[in-house]
Amino acid sequence: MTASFPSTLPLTGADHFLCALGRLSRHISGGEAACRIDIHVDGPLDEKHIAARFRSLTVVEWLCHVNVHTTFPGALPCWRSSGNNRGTAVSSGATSIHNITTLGPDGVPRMLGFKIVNRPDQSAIFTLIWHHSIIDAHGAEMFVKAVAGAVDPEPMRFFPAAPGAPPPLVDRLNAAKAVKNHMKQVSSPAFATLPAVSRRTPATTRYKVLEISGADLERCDARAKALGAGVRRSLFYLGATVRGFDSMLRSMGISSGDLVVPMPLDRRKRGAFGPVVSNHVCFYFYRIPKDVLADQASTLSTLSAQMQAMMRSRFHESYACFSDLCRRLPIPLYLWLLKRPTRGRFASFFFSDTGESMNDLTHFMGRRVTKAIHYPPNFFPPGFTVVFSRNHGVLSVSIAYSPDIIADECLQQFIHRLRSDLGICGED
Amino acid sequence: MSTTEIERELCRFVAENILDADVAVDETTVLAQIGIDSFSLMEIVLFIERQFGVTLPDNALTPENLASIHAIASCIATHRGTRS
Repeated sequence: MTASFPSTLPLTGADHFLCALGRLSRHISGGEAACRIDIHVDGPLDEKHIAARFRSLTVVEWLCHVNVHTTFPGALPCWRSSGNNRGTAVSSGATSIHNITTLGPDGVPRMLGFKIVNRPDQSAIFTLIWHHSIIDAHGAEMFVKAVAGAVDPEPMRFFPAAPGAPPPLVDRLNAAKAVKNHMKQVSSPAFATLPAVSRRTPATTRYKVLEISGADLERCDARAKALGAGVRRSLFYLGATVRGFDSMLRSMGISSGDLVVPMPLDRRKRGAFGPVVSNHVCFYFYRIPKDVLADQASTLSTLSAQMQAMMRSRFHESYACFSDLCRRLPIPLYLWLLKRPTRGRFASFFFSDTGESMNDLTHFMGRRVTKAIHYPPNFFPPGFTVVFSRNHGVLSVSIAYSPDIIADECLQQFIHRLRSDLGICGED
Repeated sequence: MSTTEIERELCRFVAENILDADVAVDETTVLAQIGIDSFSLMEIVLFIERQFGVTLPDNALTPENLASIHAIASCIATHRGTRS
């Protein structure tokens, strides 16, 4: 497949924010926050065949040679593909999926890589790993579909269309002010979160995945229905996660307090196969008062009321405008501004729900897909991220955490409360 | 306003604000099949509030009631107390 690709591409506001967040996280944890998606299939996969397919997508070449470039202070930062061949993007052959990193052996960040694990039971896992700053979760899902040949490459749009003219400066400044006020309101007074890690000891990230299917999934859906969640299933999941997190904090001896959680929202037009490259999310910021955390229904209704209030005020449009405006700030200054209100703590934890968008990937390289699981990047602070995804009859809950911060028994407390709120009996 | 007119208004809103230009929608399209997610459905619910002055109660926000433009229009008619 061939196509002409831009030599430069302006960072979106979300790209710029994630670059800043990544820089802070790298400073604290000593590592990159990588994203990963696992595609489970019912038969063995041919690594050479997939590598050839991977390389036939010329966007891979573009992604492997891309860096952030700024011509002068105040100019819009751009992704620039250097064309300088640093070697293959394919990081296959590792013995453990935990060994995959977005840093190549030369220490240069790689934007994309994949790995195959063929299992003795004849099933297999295709793992795509990518750098969080240049592709978001839905972009990665579309990329997987392109690799799988699940969509005709013609309608697949790898790159975003050129942006239209920005709103007048006054409108953008008003939007920025609205976001600043909202953020100030959400982040103060101080909210509860995990203790900080020592910068002298790099923090590691581990994953725990809960898979809910069959009768358990029916029970989970019944609980959501009983609580009146309706189509707001993401809020039901967030409510359960919030209460699980609160329970975990208490098991760690951290006093209960309000919790703050940002939730990413896909800004793409629905029904389109693209764009794949760059982040197209904005965020809603929820502050959940500690008083409502004692009751699941109250937590859900509080989240629902906040979501509707933000939607009515078109907060996502203001946020998009604000983050686009901030692109002209150098990342160190942007980071300083972001960190100032909360001393670097953006949230109690990070959360996402990728929905059911992988349900239409029924086959991958001729094999039947049995499930797809997202593994989120884990930014420090706080170093705790939960992502829900639902496809092929399985609800997956991926928990990224640091054992340097959270002991096993405390994580079990989180899982116990989460499962209970999701309406599932028994222990994990 | 008749149910048909409500459907037309809803189709126009969804096509102009939520869907990609290449994606077609009519009153019988299953919204989930064209990528309409829960966030988009809530956008539609708030559009209904602004445009038709109808606030759908929480217990009406079920997947069945929001499955298609036709289902949504019927739900609006029910909660307005009028049907064409």
